[in-house]
Amino acid sequence: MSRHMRLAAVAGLLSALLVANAVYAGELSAGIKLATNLDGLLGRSDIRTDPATVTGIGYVHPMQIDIGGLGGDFLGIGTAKGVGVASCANDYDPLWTVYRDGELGGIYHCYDIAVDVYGVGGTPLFELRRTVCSNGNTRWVLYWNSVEKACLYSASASASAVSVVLETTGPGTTDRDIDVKYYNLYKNFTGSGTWYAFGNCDFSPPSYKADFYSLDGLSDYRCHLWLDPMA
Amino acid sequence: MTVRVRLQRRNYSTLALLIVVTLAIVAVAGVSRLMGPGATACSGVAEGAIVESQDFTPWESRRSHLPEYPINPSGSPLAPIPADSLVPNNTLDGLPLQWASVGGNGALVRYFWGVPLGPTVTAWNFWDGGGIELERSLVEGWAAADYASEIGERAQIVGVGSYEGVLTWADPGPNGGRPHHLSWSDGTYTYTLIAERSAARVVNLARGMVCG
Repeated sequence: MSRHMRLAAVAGLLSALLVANAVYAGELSAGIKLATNLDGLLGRSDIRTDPATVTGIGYVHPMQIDIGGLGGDFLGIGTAKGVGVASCANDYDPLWTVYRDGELGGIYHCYDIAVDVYGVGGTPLFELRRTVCSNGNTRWVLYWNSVEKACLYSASASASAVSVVLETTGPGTTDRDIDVKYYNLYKNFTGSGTWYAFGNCDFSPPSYKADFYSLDGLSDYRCHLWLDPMA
Repeated sequence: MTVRVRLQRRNYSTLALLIVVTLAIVAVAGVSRLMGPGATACSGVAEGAIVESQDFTPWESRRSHLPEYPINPSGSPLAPIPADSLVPNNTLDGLPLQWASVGGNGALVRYFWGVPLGPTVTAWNFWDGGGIELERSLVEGWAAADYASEIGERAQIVGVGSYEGVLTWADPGPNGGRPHHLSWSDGTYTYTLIAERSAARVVNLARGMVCG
């Protein structure tokens, strides 16, 4: 490849990136808890709305742990449907897929765990925790319904935040009036070995509807996330 | 006569080849691994000497993102923290320590920046604005090779003083910034340096801290 061709390819890539950034309009609603010494998150997500005509974009319900300082590296596990990214595949049928993703060293990864396993009313149990993995070593361990799904090596043994999230990977479609309820939520602190109530959700801007709490009322163990219908 | 010239040319060619091979070996030893067995990697790395993967995942091609939240939402002033030998003057790359987060079990996150860390500044605001983050964590038995293996082919093993470290070029953030992450362990704590600087600059900053 000639120097000019390489330059043209780089210029094309940059243009594509600029365009992609310009049209990216994903939305995120999150309940978050901050502390400097967290190392676990446990809870169920109650899938309540089915965006039946997902096209092009993705809808995801991850539970996340922000390892190290705020921002940067994190680990997540949850349910998704729609467009695939990295090693996660497209999934445009009515059922939701269990997946995990995150960043290590600032590098993103995504893997499907179980394809098409939940519909509306599904209540998977997820857990992220720094503990002894099945290989006998202490790792960040991800569980789905109490079954170990990944043991991950990191440069950090504690986390700065835990969060429950509802996110779209692009601009919503007209029926994306979607919500998800998290319940039985607990967090864990380094060295404690005990689960503590998540506490009332601190909502993260910009997209959330704080006045539409769970039908079961506000609780230290629940967080109800919502993205408004498109106008 | 013709034969002698050819022989001389062949000798010159052989000599040139030997020089190139020697330089390549030095470069590989000094850059790709940046540390030989038992050696101490304290010398400066030249700009451009570290060859990195050009692969990346764009911000919009991720299924989920962390909620962006201010690092210091209360805007509280810097609490006194004990200095350590890595940053004895609380200044890194000419930037003063502006804030620190002290966690359990020896965790410490330090933020070096040219301006105070206001109550709305997120991690990406901080990195994109030129700030340097230094994390410390107590990770028992941490090994660079295991961490690099977990991350994959975009991780590089580099020397940081007498330790092995892992260097990565992060995926772009919401505004396109791509910090380098460099993690190493001194046998007690694991450290991670995060900054939107060149790979060479980040390695040299870490070496400067470790080697003094």
